[in-house]
Amino acid sequence: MKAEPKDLKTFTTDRQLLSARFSPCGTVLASGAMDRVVMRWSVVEKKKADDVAVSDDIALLGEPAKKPAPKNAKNAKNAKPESPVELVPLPPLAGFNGWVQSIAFHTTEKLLFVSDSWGKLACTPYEGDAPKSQWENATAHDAAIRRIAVSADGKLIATCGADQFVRVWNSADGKPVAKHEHTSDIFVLTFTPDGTQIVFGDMFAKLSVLDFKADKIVRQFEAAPFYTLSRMQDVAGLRVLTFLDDGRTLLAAGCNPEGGGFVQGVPVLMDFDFATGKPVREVRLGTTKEGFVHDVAWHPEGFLIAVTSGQPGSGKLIILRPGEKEPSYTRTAGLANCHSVALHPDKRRFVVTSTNAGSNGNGRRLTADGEYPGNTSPLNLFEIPA
Amino acid sequence: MNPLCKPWEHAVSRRRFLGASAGAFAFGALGGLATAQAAEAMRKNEKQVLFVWLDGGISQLESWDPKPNTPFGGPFRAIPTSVPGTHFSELMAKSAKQAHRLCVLRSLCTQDNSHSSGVARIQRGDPRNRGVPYPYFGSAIAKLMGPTSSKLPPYVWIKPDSGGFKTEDAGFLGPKYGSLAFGDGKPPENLLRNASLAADEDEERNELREMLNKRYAAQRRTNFTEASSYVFDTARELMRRSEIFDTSKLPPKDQDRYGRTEIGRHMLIARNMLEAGVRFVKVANYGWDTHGDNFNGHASLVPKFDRAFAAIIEDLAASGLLENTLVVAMSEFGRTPRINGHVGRDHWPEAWSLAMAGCGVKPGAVVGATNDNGTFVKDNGYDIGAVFHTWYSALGIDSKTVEYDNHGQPLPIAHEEMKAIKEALV
Amino acid sequence: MRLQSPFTAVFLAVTLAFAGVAIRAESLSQRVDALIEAKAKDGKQPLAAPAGDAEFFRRAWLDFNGNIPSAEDTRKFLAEPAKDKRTKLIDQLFAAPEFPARMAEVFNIQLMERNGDNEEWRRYLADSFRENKPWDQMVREMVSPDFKNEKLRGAGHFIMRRLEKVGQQDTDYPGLTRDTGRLFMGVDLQCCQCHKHLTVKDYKQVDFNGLFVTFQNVKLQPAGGDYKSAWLSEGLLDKKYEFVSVLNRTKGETGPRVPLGAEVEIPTLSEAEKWIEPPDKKKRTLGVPKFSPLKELGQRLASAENPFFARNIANRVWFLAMGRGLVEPLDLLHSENPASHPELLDLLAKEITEHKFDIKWLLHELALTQTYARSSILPADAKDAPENFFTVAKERPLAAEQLARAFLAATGERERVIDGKGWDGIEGKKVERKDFQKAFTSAFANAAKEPELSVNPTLRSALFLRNNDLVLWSLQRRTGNLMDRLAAISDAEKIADELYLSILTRPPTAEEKTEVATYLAKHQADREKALGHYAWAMLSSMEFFANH
Repeated sequence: MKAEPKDLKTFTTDRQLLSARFSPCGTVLASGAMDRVVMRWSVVEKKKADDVAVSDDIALLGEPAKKPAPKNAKNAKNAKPESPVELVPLPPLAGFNGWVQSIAFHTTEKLLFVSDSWGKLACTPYEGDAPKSQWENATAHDAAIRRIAVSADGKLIATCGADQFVRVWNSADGKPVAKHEHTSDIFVLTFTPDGTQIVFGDMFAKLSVLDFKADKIVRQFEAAPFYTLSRMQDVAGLRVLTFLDDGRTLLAAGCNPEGGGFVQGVPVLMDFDFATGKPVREVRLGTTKEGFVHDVAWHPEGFLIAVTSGQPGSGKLIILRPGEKEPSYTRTAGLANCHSVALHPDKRRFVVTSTNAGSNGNGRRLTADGEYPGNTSPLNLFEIPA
Repeated sequence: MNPLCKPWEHAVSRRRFLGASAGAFAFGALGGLATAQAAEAMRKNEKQVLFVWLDGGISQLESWDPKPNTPFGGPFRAIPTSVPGTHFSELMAKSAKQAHRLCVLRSLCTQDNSHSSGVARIQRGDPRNRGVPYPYFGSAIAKLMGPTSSKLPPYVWIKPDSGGFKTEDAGFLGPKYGSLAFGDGKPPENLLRNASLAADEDEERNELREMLNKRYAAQRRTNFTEASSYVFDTARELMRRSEIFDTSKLPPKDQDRYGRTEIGRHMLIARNMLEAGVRFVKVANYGWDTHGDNFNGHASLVPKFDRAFAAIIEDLAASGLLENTLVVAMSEFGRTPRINGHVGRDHWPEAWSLAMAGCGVKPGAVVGATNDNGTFVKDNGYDIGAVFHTWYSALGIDSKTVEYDNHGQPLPIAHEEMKAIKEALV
Repeated sequence: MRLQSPFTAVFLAVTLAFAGVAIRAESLSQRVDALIEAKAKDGKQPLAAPAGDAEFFRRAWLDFNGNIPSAEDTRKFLAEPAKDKRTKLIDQLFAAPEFPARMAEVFNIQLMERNGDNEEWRRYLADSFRENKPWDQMVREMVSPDFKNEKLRGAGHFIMRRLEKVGQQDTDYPGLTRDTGRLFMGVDLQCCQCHKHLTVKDYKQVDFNGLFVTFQNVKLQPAGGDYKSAWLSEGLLDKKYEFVSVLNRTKGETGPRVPLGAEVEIPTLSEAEKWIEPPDKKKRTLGVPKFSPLKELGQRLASAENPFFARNIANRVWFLAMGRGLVEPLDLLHSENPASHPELLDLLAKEITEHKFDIKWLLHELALTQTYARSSILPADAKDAPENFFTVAKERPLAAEQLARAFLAATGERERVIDGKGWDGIEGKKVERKDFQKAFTSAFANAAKEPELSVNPTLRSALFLRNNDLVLWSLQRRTGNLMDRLAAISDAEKIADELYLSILTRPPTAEEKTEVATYLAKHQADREKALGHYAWAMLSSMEFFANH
C-alpha cells in the first residue's frame, strides 16, 4: 500500500468503546463497551443505506435520539458525505457487567465470543435483534477477563484475566478444556498458528509459552520495556500479543511506561523471533505523552495498522511495514485516544475507535443543559485505496 | 494580590480577639493555647491518631463507594462487606471484612481540585484565611494534645523518600510542632546510637555532660539551661526506646500480613509506634494520581493499601488500642466519575469518600451518599472543615471553644462556620 | 546672696551648656553604662560582677571573630599584665579580616533568614563590611539595586530571592513588603495589609500598601543582554494604588511611601516624558520609566530623615552586642512598645546617624562598655535576673556557623578540614569544610524564613551531637589534633588544663581538675577513648554551646 488511508466517515456513538471487530462475513461491526454491552452496527453499502434511511444520529438501545456532542456532529459533517459504506446501529447485546473488554468472532461460524470484567464469558450469534446466546458462563474467571483468543480452526477459545488464570474452552459448548494458573495478572494471550500452544503475557511483561494440554510452561521470555515498578505501582504496559505471519514472528505492543499515576510512557511495538524468543525489532512511536499502542490489525498484504492513546487528546494511527523502523504513515489529526482498530474482511476498509475531544479535566464541568458529561468513542471509518 | 492577612472578617472574631488581647503580648506564656486550663485538659488525654494519606487521590469508585454497572462505574465489581447492605469495591476485599469497625463518609464535597493547594487545604482543614498558614492535622494534634505519657515525640510521619525533622506541617505553630519523619520508614539521621558507641559508654559520657551542665546552670539564668536540658532529655528518652524505631527487624509473619510492599512495611512500623505511645502517626503513600490507566493503576495500588489497612485495623482492634485511636484514611480529593481518553480519572473534589475507625467514630456506619451514578453527593456534602470538627470531637476536643493563640491572635482550630458530623460519631 | 541678675541667668545657662558639652565629651560607651546603671539602681537590680578575663576573651572572640580562640591565645591573654588589654583585644578583633566576614555572616542570617544562599550576595556583604560601607548606603543598594554594576548587583538578592516563585503560589510581594519594613525599619506591617492594625495603633493600612505598591511593578528577569545575571525590572507606575479595609469597607489610596512617612508624589508626565528609555517590542526591551519608586524608597527609607531607620539599626546593633534589643521584638517599634531604656535608644539612634550609620563604630563603642563586659553569672543570691535591665550578660546560643568553627578549633581539626592540611596517612574518607558546614547548618540553623535571632536548642541538634559521625570523627586521635595532644600528656592536671583551655577557653577549677584525674584513674585501660568521651561531654555542654 503506497497511498494514504482515506477518511470515509466518522460515526458518533454514545459511550466509550473498548474493542471493535468486524465479523468474518463482513456484515457486522461489534465492539465491547465500558457500559456492560456489546455495541453492534450493520455494515451497509451506500445504496442500501439510502433504502433504510438511517442516519448516524439514530438512537441506540431504542431510546429517543440524544443530541450528539457538537464536535462529533462537526466531524460527521466534515467526513466525506459520499461514504460508500454506512454503519447502521443494531440493538446492543446486553446481559453483561462492568466493561466488555474483549470480543472475538468465530472464524467460520456466525458466532461472537464475549467476555466481561466480572468474569463472564458467552458465545452468541451476532445477527438478529436480540439473539439468544448459544452458551454462557457467568463465572468463567473470578475477575476481569482481559482477552479472548480463538484458535485458527475455531474449535477452541482461550481467555485470560486478572484472576491469574489462562482457561481454554470448547467453542461449541463452552465446556472447559484446560486451565493454567499463573502467578500474576495476565493481560494478553494468543494461540500459536498451529493451535497447539498458547502464548500469554503478564503484568510484569513476561511472555510464557504454554502447552495447555499438558498444563506446562514450555519456555518464557521477557518483553522488558512493557513493565515498570513506579513507587509501589506495578505499571503493566502490555496490550497486544499476536502472531504476524505463519508463526515465526510474535508481536508484542503496548507502552514502555515511565511511571505510574499518570502513566506517561512511549508506545512501543516489539517483534520477537518466536523460535528463539529474541527481540528482533523495537519501534518506539513518539514521546512519553503518547502512551500505549492499544490495538493492531495485521493486514494480509503484509503490513500492520496500529493505534495509540496517550495523554488525553493524544492519539495516532500508524502503518508499519515489516522490518522497517519507522511507520510509513502516521495520522494524528482528529484521532484522540484511539483504543481499537478493526480491519474489514474486504481488506479495504477499517475502523478506528477514538475519543471525543476534551475528554479530561479536573473538577466540575457540566454540559450546557446542566448534565454531567460522559465521554464517547467516535468510529472513524477509513479506506485503503486499491 | 495574595493577602497575607484576612482576619476579623466579622465582628464575632474581632470581639473575641479584643477581649483576649490584654495579655496578648505575653508571648507563648500559655504555650500557645488560649487558656491554661484548656492546655491542662488536653494533656490528660491519652488518645492517639493514625492518619493514612494516599497522596494524589484514591478513586472513591474503586474503593469505598463503588457504582458497579453504571456509566462511570468502571470494570470492577462491588462486594459485600461485614456490614449487611454495605458494599466496597472488589479491590478492597480485606477491608470489606473490617467494615463493621469502619465509618465511611461518602459525601465529601470540598473546594480544591489542584494538588499543590489541595493537599495543604485538606490537611489544614481549610479554615478561613487568617493570613497565617494553619498547621496540618498532625501538628495541630501535637499542639493540642502534646506527647502521650510515653514522652515520645507527638507527631511521627512515615513516608516514602527522605525523612528528618520536617517543620513545614507546623504552620504558625512553629517548627517544634513539626514531625519526626521516617523517610522510607527509616529513623531520622542520628536517632539511633552511633555504631561506634557501646550503651554504657554512651551513658557514662552523658553523665559527665550532665555534671558539667549542672555546675554551669547553677550560676545562671534558667531560660536557656532549661530548654537545653529538655531537648537532651528527650533525645535520651528517644534513644532509650530506639527499638521501636529500629525498623530493620520487623517480624516476617507480620510483614506477610501487612504485605511486603512499601505501604505494608510503613503501616507495620506505624502500628509499632502507636503501640509504643506516639500520639499521632501519619503514614503517607504517593503515586495515586491516576490520570491515565486508572483501573490497572488502582488494581495494582488498592489491594496493597487494602491489605495493610485491614491488617492494622485488625491489630489495633485486637490489642484494644482501636478504642482510643482515631484512624483516618484519605486523599486530597477523589477522582472524576468521567473516564478520560487515557482511561484515567482526573481530580474530583465534588463527591468523594474517606474512611475512619476507632476512637469516637461510629463503627459500621456509612455516612452520606452519592447519587446513583456517583457523580454528585445526595443532599448536602461535607467540607473538610466539618470533618476536622468531627475528628476533634472524636478525640474529645471541643473545637467550638478551644482556640489557638497565635501571639495574641486567637484562631479557631477548625472552620468556625462548620460543625462536627453527628452521624459519624458515637 | 546676690540678687539674681540677667547675667547670672546667662552664666547659669552657659555653665549648664558647658556641663552638657562635658557630658557629650564622655565616650558613648561611658554614657551607655551610666544609663544602664541608673535604671538598674532605680529598679533595684544588682549588677553582675565584671566578666573574668577568660569569659570576656571568649565572648569577644565569638562575637567579633566568630570563632573561639586557641588554647595558646587564651593562655597568652590571661598571662598578659597590661591594664588595657581588653581594649587592645577589642581593637585587634575589629581590625582583623575576620571581623567584616563575621558581620557579613550575621547580616546574611538576619536579612535572609536562612532562605537560600547566593554567592554574589555573600560577596556583596563581605565587600561592603570590609569597606565599612555606611548602612544607609547598603540599604539603598539593596532596595534599589544596580544590576549593571558587577560589584553591587549581589545586593539585589534581598529582593530577588523573595520574588522567586515557589510552586504555584503567587509571587510573594506581601512577604517582600513585610520584610522590608521589619528588617530596615523595625516595623512589622503584616497585619495591616487588609485593614488597620488591630494591636498597633501607629501602623496603618496605608503604610503597608504604600510600601507594597512600591514593589508592585518589580519583576524578576532572567540574565541576558546587558545583564550578566538575573535582574529586576521596574515597570511604569502612573497611578495610585487603591485598597479597601475588609473591616469597614473604607477605601484608601496611596502612591509609594515609606511606612509611617510621607507619600511620594507620582509625577504627572506626558506619555513621552514617562520613559527614560521607552519599551521596544522589536528589541524586546522593557523600557526604563523615569519615575522609579524603588529609587524613591531607597532614598527616603535609608535616610537620616526617617527616624525608624536609625532606631532600627541602633536597636539591631545593640542586639548584636547584648543578645537582646532595647525594643523587643526587634520588628515592633512603635509608640506603645517603648524601649527598655528609651533615652538610650534615642542616644544610640542619634549617634549612629551622626556617625553616618557606621555600624562598626557603634558596635566597637558597645564592645567597650561595662555592660558588654559583665558576667553571665548571676549576682550572689540572685535566682534570676530580668533580661531587660542588662545587668547580667545574656547567654546566646552559638549560630550554626560559629558552632561549626568552634567545634573544629576546639578539637584541633580546623587546619585539616578547613585548610586541607595534614591529611597524610589518614585512612578513610576525607572530611571537608562543606561537609561540616552542611551538617552543622542542618542540625542547628532555624527553619528557612523563620527569623533566626536566637538559635533554639532542638531535639535534632541534641541527637546530632550525640550520634553524628562527624562529631565523633573529630574526637578520634589524629596527628596534631586535640586527642593527639592529650595523648602526649601524662599528668592529669595538665590534661585538664589542655581540655578546658582548648574547649571552654578557660582554665579548670581545682574541682574540675580533680574530676578529670578521678575519671582518668578509672579509665586507665581505655584512656584514649575515655578522653574522647570527656571532650565530647564538654563539647556538647551548655557552656560550649552558648556565648556566655
